Order: sequence, then structure tokens, then C-alpha cells
Amino acid sequence: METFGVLSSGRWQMHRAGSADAALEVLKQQKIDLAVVDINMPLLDGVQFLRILNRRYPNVKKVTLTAFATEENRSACLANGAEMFIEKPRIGEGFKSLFVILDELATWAPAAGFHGMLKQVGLDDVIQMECLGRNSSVLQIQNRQMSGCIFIEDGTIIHATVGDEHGEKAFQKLLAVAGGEFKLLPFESPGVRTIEGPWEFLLMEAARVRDELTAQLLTPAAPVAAPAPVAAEKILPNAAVTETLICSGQGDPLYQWQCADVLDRVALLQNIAQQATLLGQALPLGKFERLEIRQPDRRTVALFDRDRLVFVSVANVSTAT
Amino acid sequence: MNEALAHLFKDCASAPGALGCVVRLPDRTNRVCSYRKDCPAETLEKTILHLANAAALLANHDLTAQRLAWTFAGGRIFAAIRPDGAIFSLVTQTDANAIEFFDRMILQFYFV
Repeated sequence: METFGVLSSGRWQMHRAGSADAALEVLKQQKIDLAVVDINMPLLDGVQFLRILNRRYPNVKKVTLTAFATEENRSACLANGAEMFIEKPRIGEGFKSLFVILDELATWAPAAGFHGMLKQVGLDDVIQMECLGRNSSVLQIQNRQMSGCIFIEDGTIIHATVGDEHGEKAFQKLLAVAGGEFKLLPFESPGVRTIEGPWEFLLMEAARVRDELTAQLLTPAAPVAAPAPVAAEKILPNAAVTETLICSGQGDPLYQWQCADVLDRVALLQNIAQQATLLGQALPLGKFERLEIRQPDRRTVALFDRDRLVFVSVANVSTAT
Repeated sequence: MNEALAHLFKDCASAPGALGCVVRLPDRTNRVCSYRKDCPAETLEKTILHLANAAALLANHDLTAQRLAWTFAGGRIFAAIRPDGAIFSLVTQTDANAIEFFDRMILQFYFV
């Protein structure tokens, strides 16, 4: 700390805490810009402390500084809100570099909006972010085979186009693209609205269509008689979402709408995941993805992704036509 | 086994990607029909038990289901629940038409 005091020429005000509770006490009393957390701490380890810190003080920047720089620790810390994971330097020069990094992070302020590079992000995630943020934008998607756009206005998906196709079909086709590039452009009105309905349901439908297309591609033609054509389920124009809950993969609520008891729903999602594990363990079915529950007056879908748990109920949503 | 149940099992054999089929009767006895070796009768017995537990769990959360569709990366488990507590389940490998097939079978299940 003395070294950093010298290197910062007094710009830094530093507080030392030997345990998680002491650190929380400091955070209560002082406005902290940057928290540097060790992994080995008494009672509560650094990863658990980061989780608490991330929930209570999401705006405080967090760095893990440790002598135990294993991949496991790195993943756990980054997953629990650390902006950086740094191995403790062993020589003086290393401390200078560390100071520069920490100083940069402590003084960095995000500009309006954001820019940067997202790695391994699906189109679903980008659309979800735009819709949750009630943003207006045009998502331009292209690969060697096709090029198209999805128009989002005030967090609502209003139009999609790819080739000669428009509307929900185009949206589903774009979401089924296996790989390519996307750009998030400023919103421009498409002059036409071809998509209605809640974005959560549109994304789920697109995921369902994508899964089924994938399954068709992977399944060799089976010598079974094709079932008689049955009218596909259609979403009624008056479909009404009655409840939505989106959680992180760990079950932390991120967004809810008309969810009477969030904790009860989180517990239900976790119970469903447990039941799915029991159901799938002896069957050759692979990873659990979602549960659809049909009741006389509504349909509910619980989606289980590595990073997200989603619960959506829709009233009077489907009918055979 | 009654005739309607035998018919149901026979018809379910032609479900796209069918692995097995199981019915839990209102007296909590199970009738099982396996279509593939990797989905044996003992596994289907366990499946219907877990489905019954899951249906009870959902009912406790105001989600009394008529039909459930559990989707996994490589297959689906469908379940229909009658008001008298009987449960009919079909286990399939992933196939786009399986759900439509199952919906047609539900009608037969109501006459078992």
C-alpha cells in the first residue's frame, strides 16, 4: 500500500480491510471507486465476497489480486463480478505495472452508451440486451449466405427482413444463422411494422424453430410414415404475457414483470432443473433445455441456459387453427 | 392390459423418434412399453415417477398442467395429465413432429 501511495503521488486514498466484514464496513462509510480483493480471506473467501460486493455495490470496480492464479479461481472471480484477475507481482517492477493497471481502472469512467468487443455472444443475447434496455436500434446480420436486419424500437421488435422475406419468418431465419457477423446500428424507421408480440416470446419461438431445424438437419431420414398434417400452433394477435422472470445462471433475478413472488419463482425454476436432472439421468437425451407447461388458460415456458433462466407465462396464447 | 391402452402403445410406436411410452393409472400402477433397448422399462418406470413428482411440484406453484413438454438437447419427454391423476408420457428423440403426434395421442389417452 505504501508503494501505491508513493506511485499515486497522494491521488489515491486507500483503506485496508483484513476481512469481508471489515471491507463491507469501509464500503458503508466511504465512497469507494475500486476494490482489490484477495482470494484467501478469513471466513468468507474472495469469490464469495465478490458475489456479495457485486450485488450490493454493482458500481464499484472490482479486481482480484492473488498469489493463487489458477484457471479455476480466474473463472470463478470473473463470473462473480471481478473486472480483472491479476496475479500478485513478485518484483518491484511488477508493482509499477500493477499500479498503472489499477490506476487506469480506478479513473476510467464509461462514456454514454458503450463500445467494445463481445466474444461468444449470441444474437439472442444482443436482442435481449436491447429489449431489456428499451433501446432503439437496427441489428444488421450477415454471413456468406444471407444478409438481413432486425429493427428494435423502444425495446420492441417491430420488423425483420432477410432476402425477400419479412416479419416473423425473417426474424426466425436470422436467429437460426449458425455464424456470421452483426453490427448494431442507430435506429432508422423501416416504414413498416411486420412483427407484433412480446420479444420474450419471439425469441423463444425463434429458438424453438432453430432447434427443430437443427434436429431435422441432424436426423437422417427415418423410414417412418409421415404424420398427417396438423395445423401448427399459432400465436394469437391478442396473446398477453402475464408474467416474466429472467435470472442469471446462478438464479439471481435480473428482470421481472408482474412476478408476484420472485423468490418463489426462482425456487421453482431450481426445482424444475432438479427434476429435469432426475428425468434425464437414465435416458439418452442430453442436456436439459426447457419445459413447456400447458394449462387450460395459459402456457408457460421455463428456459434453462448456462447463463440465463427464463420464466414466461402467456395467457390465451395458442390455439389450433 | 385393456384394449385402449394396448392400442395407445401400439400407435405410439410410430411416433417420430419414439423411445418408450408409459402410463400411470389413477390407482398409481404403471403400464410401460419400451421401443428401444437404451430406454428400458425400468427407466420408464422411474421417468413416470419423476413426472408425477414434477406435476405435483408445479401444481403447488399454481401451475396445474394438462400437458408438459420437457426438451433436452437430444430428445423430449411429453406428459399429459388427466384430472383423475392418470399420466401418459412419451419419450422421443428430438423430432419436429413429435409434439403434434403426442397431441393426437392425448385424445386416445382419455379413453384408456
